[in-house]
Amino acid sequence: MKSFMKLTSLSIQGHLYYRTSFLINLLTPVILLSGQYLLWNALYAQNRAADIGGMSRGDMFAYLLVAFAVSNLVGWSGENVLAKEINSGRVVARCVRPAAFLVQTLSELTGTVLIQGVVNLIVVCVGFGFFGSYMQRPSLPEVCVFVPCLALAVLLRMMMIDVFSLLCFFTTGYLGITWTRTALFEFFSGAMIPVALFPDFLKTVTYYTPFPYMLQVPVAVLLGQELPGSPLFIFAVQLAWLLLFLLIHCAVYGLARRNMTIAGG
Amino acid sequence: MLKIFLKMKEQYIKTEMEYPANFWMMLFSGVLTRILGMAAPFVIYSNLPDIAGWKKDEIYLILSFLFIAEGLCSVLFQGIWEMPGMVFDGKFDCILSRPISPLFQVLSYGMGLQGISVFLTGAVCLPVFLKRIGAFHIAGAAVSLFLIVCGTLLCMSVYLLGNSVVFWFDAGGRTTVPYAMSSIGQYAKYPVEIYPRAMQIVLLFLVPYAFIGVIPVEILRGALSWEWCLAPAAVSVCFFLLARAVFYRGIRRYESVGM
Amino acid sequence: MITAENLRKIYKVNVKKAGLKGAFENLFHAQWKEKAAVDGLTFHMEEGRALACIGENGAGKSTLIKMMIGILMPTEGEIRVFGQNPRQGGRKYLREIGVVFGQKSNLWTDIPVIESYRAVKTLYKLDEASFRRNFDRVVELLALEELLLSPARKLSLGQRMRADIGMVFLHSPRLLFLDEPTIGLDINVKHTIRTFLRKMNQETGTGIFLTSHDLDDIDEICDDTLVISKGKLVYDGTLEQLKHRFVRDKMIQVVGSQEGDIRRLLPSARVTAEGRVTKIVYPTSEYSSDEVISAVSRSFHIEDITIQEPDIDEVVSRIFGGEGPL
Repeated sequence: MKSFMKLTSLSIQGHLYYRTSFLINLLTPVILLSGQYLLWNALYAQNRAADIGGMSRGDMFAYLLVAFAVSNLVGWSGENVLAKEINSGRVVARCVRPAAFLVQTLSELTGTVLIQGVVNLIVVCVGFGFFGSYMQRPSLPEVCVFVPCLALAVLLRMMMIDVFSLLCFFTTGYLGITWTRTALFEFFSGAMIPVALFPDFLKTVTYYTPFPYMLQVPVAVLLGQELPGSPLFIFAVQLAWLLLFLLIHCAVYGLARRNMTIAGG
Repeated sequence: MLKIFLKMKEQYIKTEMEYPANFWMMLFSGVLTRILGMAAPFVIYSNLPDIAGWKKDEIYLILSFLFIAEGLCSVLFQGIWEMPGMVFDGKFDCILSRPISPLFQVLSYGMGLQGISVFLTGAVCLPVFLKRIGAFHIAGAAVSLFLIVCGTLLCMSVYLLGNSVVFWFDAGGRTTVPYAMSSIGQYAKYPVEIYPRAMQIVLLFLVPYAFIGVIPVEILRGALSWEWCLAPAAVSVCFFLLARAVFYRGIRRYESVGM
Repeated sequence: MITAENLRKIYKVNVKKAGLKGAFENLFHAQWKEKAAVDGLTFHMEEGRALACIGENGAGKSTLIKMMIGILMPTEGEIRVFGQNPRQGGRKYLREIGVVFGQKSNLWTDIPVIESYRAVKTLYKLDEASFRRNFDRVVELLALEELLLSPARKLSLGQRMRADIGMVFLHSPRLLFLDEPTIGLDINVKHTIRTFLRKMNQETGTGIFLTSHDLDDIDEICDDTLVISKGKLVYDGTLEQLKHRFVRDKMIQVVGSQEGDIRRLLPSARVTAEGRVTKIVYPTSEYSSDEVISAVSRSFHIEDITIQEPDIDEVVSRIFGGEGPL
């Protein structure tokens, strides 16, 4: 645990090193959020009925705001650190440190998430503060279920990043793998469009993947929107996916260590 | 010049092909991202009958144009995206020390493999949806081809402009400005008239992705007359000149600061 | 401390055909060829020794190190460090060794060096007193004081290497693996690092396993050598013996006026004179140093005389030049 905290703080320090770029990088997602808002605003304006796929304007904007905050917890650069290291062979340094490989990855990602999490929390609070009257607001019991659900969701996402990064041991480039991961995550997690709007067959398929449990589900819990099951069922599914990813991690890491050819001789 | 350019690209593709696993993974990721990108309007249209009078197939046609331009840019001009990294790790010094135009060198550097499959996805979709909206004839094809050339040039200029930011904000070779620009451009896959005036101006003149996809489809579906073909051409040339000027400005700064 | 028994590591290498067409074919059915990077090595290293591993590029030195650290698995054979298989040693084993790769830094890039050092303290579970002791020592010996506060990214290569080497001593490792630690450094930094390593080896008894292309590293740091060529062991023994066995010629340089005919006294030696400086190269198999010196003193009015020690560069170029079995 001590090692975990130390590595997390190192990761935070590293991210804060380039100040200007840190600020720019924080702000760019906000631009994207405004884009999302404009698009859906326009779509609602086009639509003659008051709601789209059972979601009212207030539901939608609350969803977009929170979903944005959750999906931007791990930035592009944070996600790819491990993949790049494996690719360049610098991963050797990790292998010789006396701390479990997974602990190192998770603590590093936690560092990114903590910084971004604080910023996103502010964005969300400001959003609800100013536009709360136009949006659906969460109630206290919903927040109580949301917090553990989000924690599991974030952990699940980190595990997914870790497992996909480990696959880089077997290819020489990391971009193909990270793009595949990003594309799957963005669509199936509901980051672009709420899963509630998906046509039925697609919705069924989506709930069989781990992705909505990293984003759509916690957001829907918070806002009391459509869910695939009761909170207990959701926690169970999240834990099951976590366990599965952990098993995959062990299998892939073991395999990688056995047949490793590290870049650079 | 063109010959050297193509020769270099051949070299890159050859090195990339030495690693089949990575090669197929890149192609797969290219197709997957675009197919999921098309799924977004699919979901929206399953809930809405139309957007501002635009039909689903017309949206897909916009996407086809965007895919082709992005794909070509990535295959041909991948080096632009590598520029921040080069500035950071000192490779850019090598570029400046050679007696060839730095812009040419940046453009000819590297090769975006996923661009191949992105381009192919676009190239398969384009005729299909041209046919569906009833513009599948010689004139339509000729206009499309011309607009694709303009769109590719425009796309490249936007990338160049975005990535030139690195000369002013160097941050260990990572900056999200170009990503933000191309993400804003993603909103140009829907007809721009649905957005408020300010956003329209952004998509038409600041990050002019509307000229890559929306305007061409407007022309092809007959909402704008054929003379409008000149607009994307003019915008792309202007943008290219602007990006080029900013790029050289950046180099001047790079040299004087001596990063 | 280290024993390797008939160690082999085989890589699969992609066989490519030339040209764009060949590249396309490779996409659909790649052909593989086996290549032995390490091919049947057997050697032994005692606790607290300093051993240098010499070999041409691609001789298998780095692969060997990676197998000893436990990140690569040998295809065949057995390796034991501290009496156990490095792959089974886990974290306990990693705490006992230290690793430095000349071309890859172990420091965290964007944070000050001192923070990386503090992280080592937590990761290796060091107590404050022993951390302090080691810390003060490396800071002093490697003159790290002024760079502790800069982030690793901003350091020059020499500074970075000093910081990296200092870091690896913080947890008092029993055994150290150094893969080309002085590559690309200037002569001053090389000297600092060599003296430091030698000192630590002698005073704390830290074992050193080092690979290098720079033969002065070996000369100044190590007692024993292992020569590897194309994955096979070519020589295993002390440095002195290696020099001795491979040096066939020695050279004496004399300044002074010639009074007798040296060529008559030493007929098999090559003598070249340039003004008042005469160089005499003689085969060690025919003349002992005694004979040569007495011959020189008889035929010269000596103002200055230097006897050139055999140069390890020469030794190695001979070994790899394929001159004779050892």
